[in-house]
Amino acid sequence: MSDLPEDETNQTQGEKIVNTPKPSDPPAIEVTHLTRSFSGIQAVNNISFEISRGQVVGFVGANGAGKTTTMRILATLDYPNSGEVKVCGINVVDYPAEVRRKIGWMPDNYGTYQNMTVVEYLDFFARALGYQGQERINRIVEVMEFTDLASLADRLIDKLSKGMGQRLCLGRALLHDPEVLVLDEPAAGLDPKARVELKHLIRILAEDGKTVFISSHILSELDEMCDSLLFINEGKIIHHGSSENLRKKKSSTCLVEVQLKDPPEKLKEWASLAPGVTFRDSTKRGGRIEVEPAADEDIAQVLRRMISDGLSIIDFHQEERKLEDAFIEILGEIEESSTLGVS
Amino acid sequence: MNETSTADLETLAKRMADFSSRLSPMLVKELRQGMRTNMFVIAFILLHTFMMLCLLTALSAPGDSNSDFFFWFVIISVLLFIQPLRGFNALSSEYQSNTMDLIHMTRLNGWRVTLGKWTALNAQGILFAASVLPYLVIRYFLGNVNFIVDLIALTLIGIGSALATAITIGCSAFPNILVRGVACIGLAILLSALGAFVSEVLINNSGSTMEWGFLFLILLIGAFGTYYFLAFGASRISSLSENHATRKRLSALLATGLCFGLGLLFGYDPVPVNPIIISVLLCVATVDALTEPLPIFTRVVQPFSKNPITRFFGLFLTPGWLSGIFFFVVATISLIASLVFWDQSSGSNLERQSLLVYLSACNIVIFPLAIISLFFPSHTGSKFTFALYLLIQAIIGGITIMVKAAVDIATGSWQELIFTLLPLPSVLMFAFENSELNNIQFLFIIPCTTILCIGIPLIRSRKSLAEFFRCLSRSN
Repeated sequence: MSDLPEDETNQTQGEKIVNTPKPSDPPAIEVTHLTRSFSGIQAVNNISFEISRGQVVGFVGANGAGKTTTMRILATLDYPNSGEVKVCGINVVDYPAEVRRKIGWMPDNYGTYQNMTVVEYLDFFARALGYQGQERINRIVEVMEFTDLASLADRLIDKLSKGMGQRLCLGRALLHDPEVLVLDEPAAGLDPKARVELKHLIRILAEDGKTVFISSHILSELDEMCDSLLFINEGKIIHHGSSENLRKKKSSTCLVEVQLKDPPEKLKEWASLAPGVTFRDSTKRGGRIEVEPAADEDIAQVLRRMISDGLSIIDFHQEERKLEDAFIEILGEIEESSTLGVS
Repeated sequence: MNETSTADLETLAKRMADFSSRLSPMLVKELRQGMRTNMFVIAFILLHTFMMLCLLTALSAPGDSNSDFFFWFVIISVLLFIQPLRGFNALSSEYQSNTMDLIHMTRLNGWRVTLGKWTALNAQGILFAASVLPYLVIRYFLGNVNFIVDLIALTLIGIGSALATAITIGCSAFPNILVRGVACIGLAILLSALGAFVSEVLINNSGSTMEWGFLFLILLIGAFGTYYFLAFGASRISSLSENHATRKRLSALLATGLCFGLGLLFGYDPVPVNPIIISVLLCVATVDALTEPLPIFTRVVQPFSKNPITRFFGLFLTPGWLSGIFFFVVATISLIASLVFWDQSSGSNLERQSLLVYLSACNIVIFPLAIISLFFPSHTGSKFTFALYLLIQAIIGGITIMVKAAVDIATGSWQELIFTLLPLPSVLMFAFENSELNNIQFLFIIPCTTILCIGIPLIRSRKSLAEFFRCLSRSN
């Protein structure tokens, strides 16, 4: 591996090195005014965002929103019509080979070969990445250990389950120990167990200091894994920030579940008279109310009022706002503003 | 992971050292995969079964020509049909299995991928050929066999097999089975016709010094064709930031020069062998150049922007169909020049107007691009251009055949009307040969068609053209 940059050579000696980002390092991913269209259809429309090193960022959007196009451009597999994309400060159009050394790409459909075993698959990609001799064997062993594929080494790839295949694909993406991982829908089609395993592996990678850019439809999963979320809709970025921010930003109201010793109807009666409170639905022992505004002080005020009005409360808790709801609300707002713009 | 399993893993991974690290990763992968395929195993068993049958037939009836025919039939089937056919899916299978992108993410460029696949298939072909050598030796001891001639024939079949495999691998870069099928069949017909033509001339000139010239010519065609089609496949699967066009186009021009040089050395008059071969070589390269996607990446064009000389070469050597148009101009000039030279050196008194027929033939090559620019501008430079090009060529071919049939039954004025209404280059080409028509008309029409065919795509893509010139004139 004489022609690999020094940092990569160091990481192939078997010892685990945590990539600690330096303040002077350029961001892991920089996208500036990126536009890409296919036969007149605008897949990505003038988007800009930046991802710092060591972050795990979720990329969310409906089918056809432009996620895969953006990710493919990042992975040097497609090119922008205009705009600039940099990975670790390197332009993806001008220096694709250099970018490929920095990036590990896992597509939504992992590639399989017929008549090839797991270890042969990894061996092929290790060779193709330029590893030779003992170093190649070390890389293969390391990756197989990390992805727990040892017991499947001699199994033909086309006989693997989807979950095993995804692990193999992740292993392949990690062979050259990339700084940035771009994972396109890695959890799609996985059973719950495989999903948990994959999530676990991604968490370890994040702890190792790798930048992970991951797309998924399952927002709750991304919420658990990611430092921030990037929402894309019809080729435009509509939100970039932490999931907490998103929840707070969008929550002008909040839902509170209340359980009473009294009959549930009493809660409905009380809510109809209380200002800023709307009864949403009944539960077995109470119901859910919507409180507006959603500030902590207002919620505390509602609880005090309920007690002073003589309700026997046995449980009062704020329901966590779902990210899906927040996402749909943003989409609704965009749709509304565009309708207003048209009219 | 405990220590035992780590040790097991290391043993397992060490097994992967069965092939040297110096070998191409693609070659190693293809050999591992290829030798496990049913097709390889079945073909190998069938080959040896047939060889045994041939041997038994030869033993029972020594000197029987049937066993000889059967012997060569089996070898030709395996090396010229089965092996190239295995290349038919070589690159497209990577698309089907979603692995092409994964390969792009490695250090393998398009050329190393196609070369690795071709080498692997040929290595298996050599394995086949080597495995029949004992039968060759036994046949020799049975008599009536010229071992040297057999060996030369086997070598020539091997060269043919290598070329045919390169063609199928190159064409397999198109994921659409119809496109690669049509491309492969078209090329097979073109090269078979060329092969038959060269063989005939070779037989007619047997024993003369020209024979050597023709043998060199066959080797040149084999080497150029093999290289070109592998490079063709490589360029079609590579990312647009890779430049394969320059080497491809230079190789075509170099092969043209060598062909020309062989003509000078050995002389091929009175048959215009080298102009015909040159036209086939340039035709293949030009069709490829005219259907290349159009990336105007500064990084690709930059090496040509150093000085006026490099800029001039960049005009027709940079990737993309825009420079392909300028390459067409260079190719046309080269072809016409070789014809004029052949005419003068052979003293065959080629009519000046006959050059117009060749110019019209050149127009056939560029005409579909003008149609694409006019009616399908969004497809210009996309990956569909080649498919569209083939479709338009097929439609024009069909129209030409119909017009020819109509002209054969039409009278003078009707003929002129048909030609006026359908000024397709292919129609004009045979109309020009029709003696009833006025040649002066064609002296005007054919060059005008050339100018139109070149001008329309350039005008329709003036923005890209301006960008291309801007990149080319931008100093480093």
